[in-house]
Amino acid sequence: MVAEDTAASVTAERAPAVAGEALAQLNASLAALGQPFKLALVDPRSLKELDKNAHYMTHEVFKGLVQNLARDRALSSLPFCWFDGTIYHTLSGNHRVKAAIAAGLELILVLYDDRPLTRQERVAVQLSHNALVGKDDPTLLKELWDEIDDLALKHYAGLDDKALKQLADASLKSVSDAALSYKAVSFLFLPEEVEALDAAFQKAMAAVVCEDAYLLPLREFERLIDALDKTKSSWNTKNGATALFLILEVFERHLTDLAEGWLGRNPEAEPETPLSKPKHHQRVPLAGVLGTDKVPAKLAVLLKRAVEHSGKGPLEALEAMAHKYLAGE
Amino acid sequence: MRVLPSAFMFIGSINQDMRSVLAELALGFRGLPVYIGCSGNFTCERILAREGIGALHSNDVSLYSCALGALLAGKPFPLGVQDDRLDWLRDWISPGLPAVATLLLCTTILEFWDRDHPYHRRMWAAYLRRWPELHAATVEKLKAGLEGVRLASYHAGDVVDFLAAAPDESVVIAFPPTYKAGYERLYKKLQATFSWDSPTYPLFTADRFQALVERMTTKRVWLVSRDEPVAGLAGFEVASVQTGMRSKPVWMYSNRKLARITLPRQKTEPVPWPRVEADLAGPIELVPLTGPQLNTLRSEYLSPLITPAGALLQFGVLAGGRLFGALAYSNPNAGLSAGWCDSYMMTDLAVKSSVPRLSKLVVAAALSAEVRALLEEKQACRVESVGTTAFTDRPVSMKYRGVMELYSRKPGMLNYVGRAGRWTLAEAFAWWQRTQRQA
Repeated sequence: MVAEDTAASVTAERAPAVAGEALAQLNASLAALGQPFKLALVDPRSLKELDKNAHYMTHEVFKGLVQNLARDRALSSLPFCWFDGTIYHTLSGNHRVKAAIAAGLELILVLYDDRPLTRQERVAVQLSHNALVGKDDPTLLKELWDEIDDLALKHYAGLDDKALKQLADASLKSVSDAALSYKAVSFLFLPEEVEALDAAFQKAMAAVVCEDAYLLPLREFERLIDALDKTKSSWNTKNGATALFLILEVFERHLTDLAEGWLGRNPEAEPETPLSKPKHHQRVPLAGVLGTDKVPAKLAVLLKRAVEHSGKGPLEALEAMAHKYLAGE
Repeated sequence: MRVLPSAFMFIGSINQDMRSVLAELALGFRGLPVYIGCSGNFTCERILAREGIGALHSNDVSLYSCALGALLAGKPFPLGVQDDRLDWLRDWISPGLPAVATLLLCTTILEFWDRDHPYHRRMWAAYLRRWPELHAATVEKLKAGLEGVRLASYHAGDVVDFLAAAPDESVVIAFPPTYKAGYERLYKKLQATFSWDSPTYPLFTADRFQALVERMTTKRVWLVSRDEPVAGLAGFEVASVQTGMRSKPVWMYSNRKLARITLPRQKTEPVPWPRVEADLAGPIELVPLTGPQLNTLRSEYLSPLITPAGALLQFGVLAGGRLFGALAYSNPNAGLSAGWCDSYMMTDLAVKSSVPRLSKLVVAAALSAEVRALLEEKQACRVESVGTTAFTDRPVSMKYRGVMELYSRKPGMLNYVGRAGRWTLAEAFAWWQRTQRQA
């Protein structure tokens, strides 16, 4: 009853001064009992946080902490500070202090040490608070967790049923449409200065999961990016495969340009003479001559009849026909 | 009466965590008939059937759901193809699973139909080429996924009417779907393609949800979900599930007793490089970071109140082997860069140190030719400009001023854009040493 009467008589205006006096008295009593640490009621924004902290807190955990502080309107676990005579330095509880600020708390209780501490001593305190922590027995943890049947209190506890593997198995076979299958193709571009290209290629091949890989010099990458970029911009598409497919369409419209690969000029011929000789003797695509892989069915029938009429194989027949035509027959 | 598009689909409104909660609650449904509103893809039915719960009565309004519901209830479902340009589909809508498989495939492939863009043409051609095998595979998937699922009845129509008519001694369940944009086009194509006896029903508004709850809570057992807290159902929460950092939690309410919560948890990994402290020296270099390593750095050096998002590409920036910053870029498909920059920088953080204006060096590095090359490699297109946003109420951001240009100003945010590849990392460092360290 005495405490209640005292509390009732303290106005909001007088509360800080009253609390300050009470804490001073309490701290003096604690000191008399041999207790080294003291209590202070401070504005969390006035605390100096650590300049280097190995302990971090992910967004979701911090958010949970802020929600708890907003609910409690206080910290239920006090930060530990070092008071240098002017400033409180937070040695432990930096995230609690930040969360208190985020939750809008104007005053928080802190425990502090005002004895002279070296940098090493302060770092040792800081590390000890994060390192000397216990471990959870998962079985007992789950049992305790199961005691809570209020969703808000489960949120407060900071754990969740998925993390604690408390969810029932509800795996189902998929009911969805069959998807198109895709084949991945990678283009690998290595810096030209790489000397051991073979070794680099092997290494690069080991690093990708695809069925086909093409090794091209780095400068070719620039050309490919340019071509892709122009194509993507022209067609307003972000899809790389579509851009490549469009590039191939352009390529297919210029198949006769491939003749440059095998059509060599005859050095004995006049400069204007179109007659040439092959640059090599490998097989080349007929599309380089015809501009297409396909011919009208009518022409195909005519060619087939001519081949059959010649009594030769198709290639020999074509060669014979070309020779005859050039000879003016 | 306003009518919702019948083709609105079953877009993943029942995620894995919700399924688990339902499976747990289902144990208390035995001996009662179960009425399920908004059946969608019949996920509830499949879970309940697996637990041996019945008889099941289902409801929905979409073409696919109605066809599948009729099939599972053993009722006929007249379906025709009314677009003659797609008359070949008539060979693929024989009653039963073939028709359902065709509708299911069409929810995907009609997105590409009758469009002139090369991407859509390419996808449509691929689907046409593979149609017989895709259809056969879809039939098999449906067969396997629906094994053991039978319905006592199926109602094509309004969910509120359907659940209001359920007996008092029954279980009523409704997980109303979260409608997503972009379905209007698909709806039009499905409706234009197929002829069927389409139901009419009122638009599912907040008032209709309230009416739904009022009808449901008169029944013996009820279970309903919403993607926001429902004030009138306070005290009946049985689960709050959140599967992604940026997704809203879904609240599940019931008069059965249960309390389950799920929360997204970021993966983090150690970042092995020592950090820059009081001073730094070149050379400047970039190192690749994993997503979990970026999460660690964001937790250490950014405001923990910022909700993190996944990045397309992320790397650390080192000076003399010590890490002083990190950069992360969003996927261009996320749309953040659309129309104003070639690549959107979602994170540029500097580590905590006593080096003044370190964050400016991070921004300078972000505009280097080396970063540009990595972005071009990843995005497979030219990257001429990099954009980013400073979330601030101030008129300018000191961090970006002088390195990037203010592109636009919106309430609480400033968009900046910079020329990608304006200098090399070494030149950026030299510029920073010359202009920022001595300023």
